[in-house]
Amino acid sequence: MSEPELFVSLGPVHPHLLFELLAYSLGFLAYRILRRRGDHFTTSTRWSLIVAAAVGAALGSKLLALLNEPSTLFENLSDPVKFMAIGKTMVGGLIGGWIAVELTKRSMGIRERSGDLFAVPICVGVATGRIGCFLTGLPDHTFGTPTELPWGVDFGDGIARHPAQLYELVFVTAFGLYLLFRKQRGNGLEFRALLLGYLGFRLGVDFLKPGELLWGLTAIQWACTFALVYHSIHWPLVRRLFR
Amino acid sequence: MEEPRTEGPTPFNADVLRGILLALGLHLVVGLLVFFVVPEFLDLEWYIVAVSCFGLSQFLYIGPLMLYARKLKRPGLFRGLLLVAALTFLVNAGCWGLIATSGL
Repeated sequence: MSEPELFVSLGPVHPHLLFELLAYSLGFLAYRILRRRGDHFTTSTRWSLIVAAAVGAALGSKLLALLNEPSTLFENLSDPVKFMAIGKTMVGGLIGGWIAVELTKRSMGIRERSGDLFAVPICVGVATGRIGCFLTGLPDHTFGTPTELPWGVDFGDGIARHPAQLYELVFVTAFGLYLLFRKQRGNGLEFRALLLGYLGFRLGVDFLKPGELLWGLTAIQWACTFALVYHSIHWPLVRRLFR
Repeated sequence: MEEPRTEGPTPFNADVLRGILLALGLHLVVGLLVFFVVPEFLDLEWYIVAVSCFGLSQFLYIGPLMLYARKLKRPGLFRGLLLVAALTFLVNAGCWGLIATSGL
């Protein structure tokens, strides 16, 4: 069987690598700009939280990606090359980053909310990263199921599919713009709103993606469900954002 | 005895930046060595594992440096190194399989 080709080639640079590096850079730039508006944490504390978020995101995204492809995982338990090739997932990154930041805050005795400053940069990063996923096409495994809808995209195998990467790009862009331009700021709920909104969106949109199901849902959808149930106690507070 | 560099935003920021630049510089040096020197001496199978799992193999030199930064009580340096290591792991995890399985 031949290897799947890129949907759009950018010459010698892999589009996923290019847009992933751009995603981190633009996300960090957005954070720097937003921090100028004010931050109730010191630079030292903020760096601790950023590093915790990055480490948590790295571990969470890998762990959930492995669980999301259990058959590939168990077939290649002793093969580190295949282990790395399974990839990563944004949902695991978001949940892992959030858990790591909460644990770090607890260890430092911090009780204030810290995530608002990360909400818009995460939207910027995800939106940019998904461009790379879309341009990569079939090898990226983020495409949707076959569809006859007029906006279905043929990634090169002759089958029109849901452009699930673009659905996500539109969602996080709209969400990020809303958070950026809403009048009231700094109530500490923007990150929770992003978490609930994004995980709810992924729970729904992942029904349009192929994947290994476990009791009707993929591991990513189960992770979304557990996180949503856990965070649902904050929903009445988050609703204030949309009034 | 050297003062721990935890006070004040400027030294701490500078140390984080030093850690980031140190890790990136080492990645560059190791990358050049891996592509031009190491293939001559390392078994091909181990070479493929070391390169494709760079997100993990980087800890062979980032790990000791992080421990050394801890010993020096330079938390900024430690965090800069750890940040680059985490991002390297993320990029490696996301892109290695794609680059290996898709034509450019």
